[in-house]
Amino acid sequence: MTFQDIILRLQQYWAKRGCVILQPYDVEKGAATFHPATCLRALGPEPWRAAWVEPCRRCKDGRYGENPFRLQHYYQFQVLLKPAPDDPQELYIESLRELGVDLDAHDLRFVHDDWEAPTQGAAGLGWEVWLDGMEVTQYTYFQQMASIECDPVTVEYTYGLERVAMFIQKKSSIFDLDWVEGFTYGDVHHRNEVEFSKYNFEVADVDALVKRFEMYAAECRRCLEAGIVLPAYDHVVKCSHVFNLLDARGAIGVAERTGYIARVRGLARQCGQAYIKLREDLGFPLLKGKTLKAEAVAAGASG
Amino acid sequence: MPDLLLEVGTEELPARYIPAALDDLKREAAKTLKALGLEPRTLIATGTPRRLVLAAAELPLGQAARVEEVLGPPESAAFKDGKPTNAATGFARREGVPVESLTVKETPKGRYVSAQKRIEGRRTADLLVEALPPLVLGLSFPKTMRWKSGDGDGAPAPTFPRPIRRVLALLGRDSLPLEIAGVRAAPCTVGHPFVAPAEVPVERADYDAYRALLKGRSVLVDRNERRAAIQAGLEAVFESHGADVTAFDLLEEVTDLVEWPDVVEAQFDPRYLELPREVIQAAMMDHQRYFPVVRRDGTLEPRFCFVSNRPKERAPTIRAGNERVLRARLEDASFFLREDLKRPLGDRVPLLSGVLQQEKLGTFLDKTRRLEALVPVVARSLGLGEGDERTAARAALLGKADLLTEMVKEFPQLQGVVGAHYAARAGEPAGVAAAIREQYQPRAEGDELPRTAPGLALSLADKLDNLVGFFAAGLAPTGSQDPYGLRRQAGAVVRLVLEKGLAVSLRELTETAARGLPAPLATGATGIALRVREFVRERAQQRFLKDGYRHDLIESALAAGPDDLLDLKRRLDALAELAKDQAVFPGLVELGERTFNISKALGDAQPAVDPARLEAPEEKALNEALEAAKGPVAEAIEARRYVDAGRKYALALAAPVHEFFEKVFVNVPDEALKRNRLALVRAVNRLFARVADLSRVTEGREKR
Repeated sequence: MTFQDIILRLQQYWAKRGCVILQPYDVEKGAATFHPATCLRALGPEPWRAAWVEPCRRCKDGRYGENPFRLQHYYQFQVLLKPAPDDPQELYIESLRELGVDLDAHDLRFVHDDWEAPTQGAAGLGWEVWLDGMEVTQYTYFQQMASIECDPVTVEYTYGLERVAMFIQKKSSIFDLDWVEGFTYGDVHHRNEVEFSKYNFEVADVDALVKRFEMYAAECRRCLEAGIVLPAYDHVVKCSHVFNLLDARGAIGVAERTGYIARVRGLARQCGQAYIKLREDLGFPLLKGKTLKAEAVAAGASG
Repeated sequence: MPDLLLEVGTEELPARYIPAALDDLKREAAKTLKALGLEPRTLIATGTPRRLVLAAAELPLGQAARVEEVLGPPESAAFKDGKPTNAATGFARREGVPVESLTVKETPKGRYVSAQKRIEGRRTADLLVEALPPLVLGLSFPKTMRWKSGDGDGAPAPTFPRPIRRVLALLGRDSLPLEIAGVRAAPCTVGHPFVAPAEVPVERADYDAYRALLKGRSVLVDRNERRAAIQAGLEAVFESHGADVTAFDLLEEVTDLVEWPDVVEAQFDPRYLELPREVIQAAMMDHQRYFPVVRRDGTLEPRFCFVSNRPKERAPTIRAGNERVLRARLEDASFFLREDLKRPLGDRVPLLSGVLQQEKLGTFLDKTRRLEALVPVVARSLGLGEGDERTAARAALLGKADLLTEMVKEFPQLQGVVGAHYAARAGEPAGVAAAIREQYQPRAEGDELPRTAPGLALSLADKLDNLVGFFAAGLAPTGSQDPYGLRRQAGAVVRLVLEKGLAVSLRELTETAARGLPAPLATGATGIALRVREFVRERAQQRFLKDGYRHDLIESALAAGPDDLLDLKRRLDALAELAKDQAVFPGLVELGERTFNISKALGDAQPAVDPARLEAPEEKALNEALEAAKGPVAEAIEARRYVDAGRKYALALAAPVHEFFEKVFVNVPDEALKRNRLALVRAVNRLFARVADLSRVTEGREKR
């Protein structure tokens, strides 16, 4: 199964289970958790089901394309189910079968992992999902997002698409993965790894980045004051990415790190609170649609 | 008498929570059942990551009936002319007993009417339906989670470490109608989630039958059996390679990561053996929970064991996958090694200016400079030769450079170890590499101590610098917080001094270390050094208590002088030895205690005894005994023969002191005479004061 097929199959599988298939968010980020569809939609009482591919930039993880397992840019497949269903494990396991993984022949394990994203004030309890020792997915029940308790709780599956593909295709290097017939992952992305590693570690302008952080933080505040949450949140995501770039450049000392993280977390919390208020003022519109969704899921599951 | 079988099915529980949870479950269940008057013949708590199990054998069907006494109105209000009043009949009716059955009871407050109520025992089934859910939900765990909302009636959302999905609750053949976290009990269970996932009915509470049922469905539910199976599997593999299983912590954890263990032997490419051994082991154990195979002769084999959760037949495929994963990690580590070796360790030292240790303490380059200044002082204090001192100094210079390497960023717990390897590769002498490795030892309880003299010097210096530094920066540990691990470091200092027999002056070393701190902090150097020494002393006290020394003997030895830990231990050992001798110890303690207490009136003064003023025969005899004993006792103390000193002291002075206090009155009106007597008593006390303050001994003294 090619990398492309894996994505298409997962999208289809989760579409059948009533998920809104979204597209990646067009702001640089380190994880799908930063997509407003994750961070903001996890807040408040309204239900939500979504799935999509999210490109992620982990600036410190670049290896100039020389390491066969580690990339500074990779793809997650994100799935959110809110409220948490009664059978999330079974739903996930079925998705692996959809991808052709023979779960009788392989050792699938749920190994406890509690996850935290301090910049977002996010915390969840869950597992790493292992296939024959390789971590392929993070499966989490959110407890807190933007420093606000989650009720109802959202279940998140974050598949590491390259890992899943390496398992299925039995490849030892990400770059050898078949993206689609005739094109490998390396054909598509190797040069990116080389150039962006250089950028992240050597070239990025530190002074400019520091200024940009301040600009984005200020703009976030302006948006909140103007009463528009979603653009404000965009700037939180931008701040977070700038922080990651500064970190990769080695420009953040131990004491400063706590400061930056606290600032981003503070902005995220303000956005979270504003978002809940916004939804409340709108009357929590998706709460009415709850019955409709359940029917759709039931129909989809048998379709 | 029915058995109880309770199985709470969950999504995988964190492995490290399970042993304590099972202990908690058993203990709380025993307490609860006892309190309800329902004690079983046996009680078992066991489990897997997917199920917690409680099995009780032979519970009574219900509680025994009991009689409860209730007091009512006073006799005077209850009976008039021998007939019951309305108060009495009302009371009897309320308590549901015939008025004729009322009796009168004599109480401290007077005579009151008493009713004997027969309380019928409740049915076990009903009691368990009420008691089991809170028992399970009340178990304590480090962290719990929510997975659904509270119900509409205001009940809060249930919390548990992981979601509860199934409940089996059987009393005999009856399924108890209980509910835990919104999950209703049903008389069935499931086997291995992949090998035998279908629901299977369980007809009655029978732990052995249940265990056999699950075994037939690829679940080894009994934890002890599961652990033993894993251990046996590991031992078989290890033995075949001349190795011993030593990773018992990992074994415990892995026991709770599977329901159907299969120990699989796998391999890795021998070329990765070029990596430092500790790196290979960290890559295996930290995240992957693999067991390294180390032969008895110390060689690390290019192979490992892991525990899969599938039947044996599946091992080949599963092995291949795991081998690929390990290869990825070792390849990563090789990459780090190659990158790191591009730059010699020494070249990295100036770059430490970019790594902050702590805001007030500066960077790791600042720390390196401080260690370079401190290490020679420590080395001299330890009596190191010139060569070793040079080695220690070089190690101090290079010691923190590995913090900048990719390898240490990936495996932070390997700092020092990685530095040692890179130093060796850069051509540094073996002694320098060894010292770099040893600077962080002992890292934890039971960890080994530095073996080389330069390593010892650097280790001591590093810890003292951390202690004075963090104390000066206002970051000393509080009751519950110790983020910089200072208790551990102080404990390590105690271990180093005592176990290596280091006759060092902690005062000199702590003050030197404190003076080396950045300017604003160094102004309080003496005070900081004193606080650190007190902190170290507390650790020493803890250690002695742990080693089994008597609390009062520790106090006694400490009071006489806490700075030289080695000497402190000698004195403590002497006291422990003397305490065994009933012929000597009581007299010794009385002697020390009485002379201490009464001479407190002198304050700090130690006036000379004027022999001309001695009047009573007992006074003169005491003074003579003191003069005779001074030489021998002092000599023994000087030579640190403390048991000998104690015996000599007691033998010479216990009897004369006893006689003195029997016959001589110290607090006479004549000031000069009084003072002289106090001076004598104090002088007697001071002779042994350097060894111990015997007034703090609470046991083993003579009964007067």
